Amino acid sequence: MEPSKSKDCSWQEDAQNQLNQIAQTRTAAVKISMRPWWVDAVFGVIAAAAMVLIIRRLWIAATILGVVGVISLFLLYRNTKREGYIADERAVGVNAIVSAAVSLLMISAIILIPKDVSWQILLALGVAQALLIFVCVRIREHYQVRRLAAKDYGKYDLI
Amino acid sequence: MTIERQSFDNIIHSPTRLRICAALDAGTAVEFATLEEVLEISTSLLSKQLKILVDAGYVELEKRVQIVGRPRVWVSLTNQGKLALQLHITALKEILGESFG
Repeated sequence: MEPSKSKDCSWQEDAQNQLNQIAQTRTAAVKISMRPWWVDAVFGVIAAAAMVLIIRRLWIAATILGVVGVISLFLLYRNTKREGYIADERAVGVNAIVSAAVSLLMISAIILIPKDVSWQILLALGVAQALLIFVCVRIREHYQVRRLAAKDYGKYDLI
Repeated sequence: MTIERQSFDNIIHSPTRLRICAALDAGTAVEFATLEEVLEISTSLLSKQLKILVDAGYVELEKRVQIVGRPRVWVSLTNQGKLALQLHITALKEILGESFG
């Protein structure tokens, strides 16, 4: 191989290595700083518990849980390792779908389930709701992580 | 890393600083301890490299008081830093483009 071609190959190899390192570091940063699953589990449990209390028409208990839950979740969600979320049309659309799904699950259960339903059914319903809400919120988080790792967003879409 | 072209920014070209910038580019700000965890380097080395980036105007540090616990340091890329990283990535892609394009 001629000396100049050999130097070009070396540059290309180094350039490829650096690009790989950039991609790997970005992916590692996004994954390490991902919101822990248990924070979303707490959110699911609090939301489901509030729903159960509302079905039972225990308004005071539901209000107390709501206030404590909002404060706890505010502190938990603030305790992040990284800031910056994608807020383009696609991400806003996914957020809207997830929020609508969570709201629909809760509101339909509150409207459709009678007040005097047995506690076994209520418990099963609460667990199912908590799981569904958890899954919805995790889908949204994974969606953000996937797009952040791939740098799949515009210059001004990260807020 | 032995690339020695004129178009490269010497500050970002260093492997550790390049990785710091890549990690910071994954959000609007990253916490100092998380940066250490991602890069798997010592606190002193990270501080030293961050100082170079701060002096160059590529990175900003902000100490934030928390409601619970000790204050935490947040690190973010400045607009100048984002531009420098983007130019560096473009230069790297150009090198690969020369061979495959």
